[in-house]
Amino acid sequence: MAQPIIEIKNLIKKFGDRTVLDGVHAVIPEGKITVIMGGSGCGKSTLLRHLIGLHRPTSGEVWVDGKNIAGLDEPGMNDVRKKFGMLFQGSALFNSMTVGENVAVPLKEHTDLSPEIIRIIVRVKLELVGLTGFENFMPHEISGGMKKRVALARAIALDPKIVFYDEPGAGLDPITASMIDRLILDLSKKLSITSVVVTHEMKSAFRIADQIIILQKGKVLQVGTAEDIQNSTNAYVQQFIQGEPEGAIPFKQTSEAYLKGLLDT
Amino acid sequence: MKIQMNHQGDVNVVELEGELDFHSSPELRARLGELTSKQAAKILVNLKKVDYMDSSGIATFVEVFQKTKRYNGRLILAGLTPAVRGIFEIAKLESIFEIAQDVQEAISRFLNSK
Repeated sequence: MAQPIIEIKNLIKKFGDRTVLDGVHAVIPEGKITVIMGGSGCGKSTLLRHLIGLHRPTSGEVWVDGKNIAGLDEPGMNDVRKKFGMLFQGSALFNSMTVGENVAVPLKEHTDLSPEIIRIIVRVKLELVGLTGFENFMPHEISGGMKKRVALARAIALDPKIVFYDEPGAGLDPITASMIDRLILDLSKKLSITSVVVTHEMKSAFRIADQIIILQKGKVLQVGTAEDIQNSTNAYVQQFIQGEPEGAIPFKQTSEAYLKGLLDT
Repeated sequence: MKIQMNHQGDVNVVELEGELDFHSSPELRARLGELTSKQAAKILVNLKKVDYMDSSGIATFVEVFQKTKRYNGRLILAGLTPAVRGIFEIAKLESIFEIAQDVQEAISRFLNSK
């Protein structure tokens, strides 16, 4: 595997009494696609928020491109954030701006480039996501899949080294979701971007991942290639892959726990 | 980034050294703007010592290309490193620009054209 660009060391995050991340260790190699997976509540979204500096760890370290971001102040964190792009779950486009203006936002905010140069960059980025000619459309005039692509063009506007994707296929039909997967693969290879994708969709993970990290109850359960995960003998992993309601992952607390909870109060 | 401008005959040669990125490209744009505003007919940019270029670099060259075209000027980019050439390819612009192997080849192309 390539050099690590992100290293997570013994990351613990507690919200009150609840431990959401319970000693996570993980390495994300440069220029590869890493998929972080797990069921609802496994801690994957919380982990992502640590990687982009939205949460501070209770303890542990998060190294991004040579800096422990856990100890950075806000200006320091903003410097690191310029190196990465983020594709938000709901696309998060500004509805009052055209497609082109949306893609231009990070360029206007973080650079001193002239409007003419920004306009050219926007056109190049829109071409990269297959949206040449849509510059002057408004978000409400395009489909959900196209909005995702606009959001992706915006995420790569500043030529980031790392792009984070939060559930990129959420809310899309299977064909559109697989088109977005292809785009993630394509951009990662062409632009040598490190991609970190958080998803619970197995098909998508197997299609795009160089490395898959499976989280369970705030811990890393297994790390491997798509093939490793598919061939895993771990009961939790197999249950997750198959999407079975019954198995090693308890769907609900036992009736004893329920009764104990009721009677203890 | 270092930007040096000189002449070889009637060719305006722009020598670049360092990284052409969001920070340095506005200065390059200004210097190239000096040439296009006086409608320099022959502009040669030597990229041999540029090991990194981002989208703003490519956009800067697109703009110069548009301007030179408007007044029938000619822009040749020379000495592209594989990394820089890759950026042109990703943006699907390598066939739009006139690209020479090195400065010598570019100069001889200018000479042969007239």
